[in-house]
Amino acid sequence: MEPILQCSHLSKRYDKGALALNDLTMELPKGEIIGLLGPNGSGKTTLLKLTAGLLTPTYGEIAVNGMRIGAATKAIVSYLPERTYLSPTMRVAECLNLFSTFYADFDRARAEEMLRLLSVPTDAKIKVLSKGTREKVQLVLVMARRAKLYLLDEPIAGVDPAARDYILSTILRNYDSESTILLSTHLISDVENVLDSFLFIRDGRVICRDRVSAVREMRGQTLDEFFREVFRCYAN
Amino acid sequence: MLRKLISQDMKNQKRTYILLILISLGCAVVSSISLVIEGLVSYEASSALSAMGLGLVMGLTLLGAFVSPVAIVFSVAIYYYRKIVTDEAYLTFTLPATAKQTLNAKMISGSIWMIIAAAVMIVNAAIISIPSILVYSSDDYTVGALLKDIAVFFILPYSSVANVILGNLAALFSSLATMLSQLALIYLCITYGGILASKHKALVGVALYFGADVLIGGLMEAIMMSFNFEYLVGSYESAMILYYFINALLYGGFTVACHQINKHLLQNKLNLA
Repeated sequence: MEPILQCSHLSKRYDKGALALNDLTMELPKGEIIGLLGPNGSGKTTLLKLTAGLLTPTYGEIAVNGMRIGAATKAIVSYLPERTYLSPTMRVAECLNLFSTFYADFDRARAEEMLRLLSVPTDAKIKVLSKGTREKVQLVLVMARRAKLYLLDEPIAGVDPAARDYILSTILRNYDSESTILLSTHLISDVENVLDSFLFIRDGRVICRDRVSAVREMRGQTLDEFFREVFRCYAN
Repeated sequence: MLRKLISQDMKNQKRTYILLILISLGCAVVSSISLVIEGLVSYEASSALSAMGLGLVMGLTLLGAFVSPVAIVFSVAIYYYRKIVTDEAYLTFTLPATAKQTLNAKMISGSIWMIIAAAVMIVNAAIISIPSILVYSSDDYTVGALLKDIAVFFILPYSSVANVILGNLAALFSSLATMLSQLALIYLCITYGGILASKHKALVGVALYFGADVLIGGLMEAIMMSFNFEYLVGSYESAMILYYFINALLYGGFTVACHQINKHLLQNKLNLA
């Protein structure tokens, strides 16, 4: 089966000189929930942005579903950034209209149902919503798409534990087994039960990659414990 | 996709701009009424306060009538900045559109709003000046006579019907090209400001724009001055038409150049950190 994401010798250097990704070569399969895990500044967000088409690689190539990054890949990639990108002057209903207009795979009925369950009023302006509610609106917009690849950058950071559970269940409920979710987070213990596999990334390189079940079975550790062990070595 | 993008941009901006247009037209009407009242009513010394009040209303509304369309131009620039450089750019650049389509949509919608702003300015000038000209002029000066005088203004420099059409078309193209070049330069400077600066991106964009505007304006003027149009075509009338066409060509070319550079920057250099 063709991989959903292919990176070949992918490097990204920002103008200030820091190498955020360093000769990264990897492939991600279809139909998995993959944790993208690593300490701050390891290159997680850079990899997600390159895949979403928000950054241009300094060197190397990246392809989604066999296509170079462009309008065609953006049509099948659903990206949730770690910041609010919705215009504060727009109403929630207008955001739904916008996604319906531009994304052929957007399921408006599903989005409206999720918003109803979250008690988010669709006639409210984004600027009057709390930060947590804005994040939920964005998550709903992103997960209501029938995308082939979901890129979720810290989807549960900054929200209370109850909301975390809701967000993770939303992700699982709306996840299509043909799709792939690449999920970046620091809160490993919260997500490890939903992950099929994981990538540990440090200094722009993948240093470890396996299935979550393999860590449990072979090492007798949780993913969180394994993460702490691996990155404690680096910290020392 | 381009049509969807243009429609979205127009929809996003229309609420603010229509309000500005209505404010502008309202100010022009009030200003015009104030001018007419001042022309019809002769104030006694005791009513100096009323005259002052009327003057103040007239001044403020006059200002409002012409500031509002300028505010539209500023808003067009701010809208582009928000959608291309700030966090909202995350949505702009994850839509399934190419950088070329995104930029073309912004250019087309921005041009439409700028043309509307210019048209509002002209309408305002007519609303303010025509009634007061009639009030202040002698009794036998009618609306028909005024319209005739305006028509003569556009016809007078030319000796034939063909030249009237050609000359006025050339002047129109020249004005449009100059206006579009300003929009393309504003967009380019905002994009480049977003690439160059990590902080104060808007300020860098504004500084770049003013620097580039002075430089390009001077360069264009120098190019235009280097032509001896009358020597080239033999008559003042033809020289004027040629001047307008060359001006339109120069600014049109400059607009295309700015647009292409901007497209290249958006495709290859703009990184949303």
